Amino acid sequence: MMTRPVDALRQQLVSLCALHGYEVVDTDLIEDAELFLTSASATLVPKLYTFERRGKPYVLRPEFTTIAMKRYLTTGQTQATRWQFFDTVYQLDAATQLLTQSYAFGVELIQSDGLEADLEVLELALRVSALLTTNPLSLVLNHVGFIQAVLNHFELDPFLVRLLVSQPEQVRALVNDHNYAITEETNAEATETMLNVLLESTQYSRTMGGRDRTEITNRLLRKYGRNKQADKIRQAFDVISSWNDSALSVGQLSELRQYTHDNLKAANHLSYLTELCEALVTSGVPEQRISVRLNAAKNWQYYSGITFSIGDGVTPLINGGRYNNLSHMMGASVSVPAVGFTCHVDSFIGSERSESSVQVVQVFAESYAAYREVANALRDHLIPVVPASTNQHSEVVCTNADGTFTLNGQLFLTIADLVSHIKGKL
Amino acid sequence: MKTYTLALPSKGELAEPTYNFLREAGLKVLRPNARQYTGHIPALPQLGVLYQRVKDVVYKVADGTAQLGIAGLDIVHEYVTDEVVMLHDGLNYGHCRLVVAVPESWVDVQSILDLQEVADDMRQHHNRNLRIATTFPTLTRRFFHDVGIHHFSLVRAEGAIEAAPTIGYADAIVDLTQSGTTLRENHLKMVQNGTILESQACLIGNRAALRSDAELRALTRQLLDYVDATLNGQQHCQIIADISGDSPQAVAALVNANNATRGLLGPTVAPIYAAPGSQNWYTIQITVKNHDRLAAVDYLRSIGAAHVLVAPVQYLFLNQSTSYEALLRKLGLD
Repeated sequence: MMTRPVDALRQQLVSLCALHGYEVVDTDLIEDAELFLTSASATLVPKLYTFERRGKPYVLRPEFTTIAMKRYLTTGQTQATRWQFFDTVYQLDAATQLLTQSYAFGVELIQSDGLEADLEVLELALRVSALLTTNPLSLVLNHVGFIQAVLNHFELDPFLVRLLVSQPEQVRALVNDHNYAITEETNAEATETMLNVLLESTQYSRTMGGRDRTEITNRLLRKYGRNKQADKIRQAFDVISSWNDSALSVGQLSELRQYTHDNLKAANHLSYLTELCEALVTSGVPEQRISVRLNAAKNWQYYSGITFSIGDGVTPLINGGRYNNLSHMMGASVSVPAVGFTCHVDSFIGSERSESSVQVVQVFAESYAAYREVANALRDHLIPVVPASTNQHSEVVCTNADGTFTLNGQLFLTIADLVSHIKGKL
Repeated sequence: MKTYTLALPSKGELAEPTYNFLREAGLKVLRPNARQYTGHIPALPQLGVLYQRVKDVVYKVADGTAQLGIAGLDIVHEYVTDEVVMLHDGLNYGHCRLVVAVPESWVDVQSILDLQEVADDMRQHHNRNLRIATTFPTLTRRFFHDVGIHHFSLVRAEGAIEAAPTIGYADAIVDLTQSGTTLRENHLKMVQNGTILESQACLIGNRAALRSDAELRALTRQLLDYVDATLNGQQHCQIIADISGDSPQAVAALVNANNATRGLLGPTVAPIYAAPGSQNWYTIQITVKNHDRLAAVDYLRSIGAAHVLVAPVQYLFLNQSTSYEALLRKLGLD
């Protein structure tokens, strides 16, 4: 029987990620639209294809990340979870408003935080890219947390910060037009009294929509307060504008230190970004292929840490990032750290590739670099590997300080011995 | 002789103004009685008339039941399809605006940016979306996304939308308004930068039929000629004045000296055969824009005009129908 080109590609990608311990998950085509309308990124929401059935809004599956988080939350998972998705996704074309169907491949590492998790997903994204194309690719990094930390230092309210990131031109108009330039000094009590008098004397109180007087009062006070913030808004706007214009090489990251004086959070995020870049270079990613752009933060409410795109300089092949805020946006009481990426693979369907098999081995190492070395060596022999959180379990491969390995109490002097043993066992 | 169908609004705000517009254009529609859904236009015998609800006018033109139709721009943009091509987007009647309106009690909301923050607050602090009641979901959704409000829910409603924020099943509305009176009576106010569409009556056609049928295009050209000439006529007036002067050339030079009286090309000057012994009198005739009318009369008085007659222009045909030329370009037939 002939294999469809899309199935061949699916097999390639699924096998590769299974080598990294990612389990294939199927998702429903039709989802509750509220799931996306309330939690999806601002760039995705306009592309949703929604429809109603008996008054309830539904959406055709637009992506996998939100669905993955919903699945994680509703199935009561608590451990680090590696999922991969390959299926059709449906989005409206922004220009024509016509529905488009395309194949997408998604990888999500949920309940996992820190440098090692980010590196794992980034390196997997690079492997997926290399599998899809032989063109030289570049990796563009960003850190939403760093941007947030710098902007928060201006002590602007959250709405203004979000507006600065997603619609900076609106902020410029807002400052220039003095839209919020209410000069009267006031307080909550006086404002509420004035509001009550107005609403009662005009009978406007009969029509409140879904808001109450306290909400209106609080927002009036916030508007008053912004009058004093005009200079800070301008300064923050200038910072955002300067970032939008340029990309930084790894060597130029130190230039961002100008924003980290007296700002510990920003300093921490910057050193994290630097460490991540260095780790990528150490793992073999050419330094000249890595750049940092601090403007790609439109998915502000969605992402919380690093974001990245991999492409040929013109078209992004893969987009991804850390989205620790998503579980909160979906109404969960706990924060679930997660990182992942999506690859739109339509243009690669039909290309020739070799096939591989699917297995899983746990490896424990004292450092991520040591883990990566042994994990990649095993993967080179098509043995699937995931990191282990403990060395107490007998089925875990442990790396020893002298360069040897232990598995089930048995000592292996070289990686070749270990590989030979595992392959024989599997 | 092939016959074609023009779909017209049967009721609502556009019905009577459409009848009046076509009558003024010399295309009076004869309808046997108000309960019949067909009619005809004696001036264009190839064109039958089908009366439909304004929303259905667009559907009928889209599916080819009617080849031509008159509807509101708001409805056409809401139900826009590739099958419909715009023939004329401004028939200069049925003016209204599709606007975002919020309760008057929201004294903190003046602009769409304010509404964006209110929507943001609802999302952040109350874990719910801003609810918008409207009969224009497509235009509303596009507008809100364009202005950066992404977390909202549309509440479908067919009538009495203005009451939705009072009853409480919506926070704000998107609806058509002419003067804003109905909004005010329901304690609602428009927000700055919240106009989604400036609407008026427009003429539409079925793209496939117009592209493939030369006879339909010829008929459409006649219709557009009438429409263009009528709309041009509405914008102009004709001025006839008696002016004394040494010669026709001298009078023409005086009239041409002012922008307001230069007219489309210049004045027609004809001698008046006045009583023997009186001055040389001439009658000048010019066609000017309505907004130049008073300036033109003042200037003519200043150069000695004794009698100034101003008359409306019913038709002003130009050397070609600009709307028809534009249609050919849209159809790729230019």
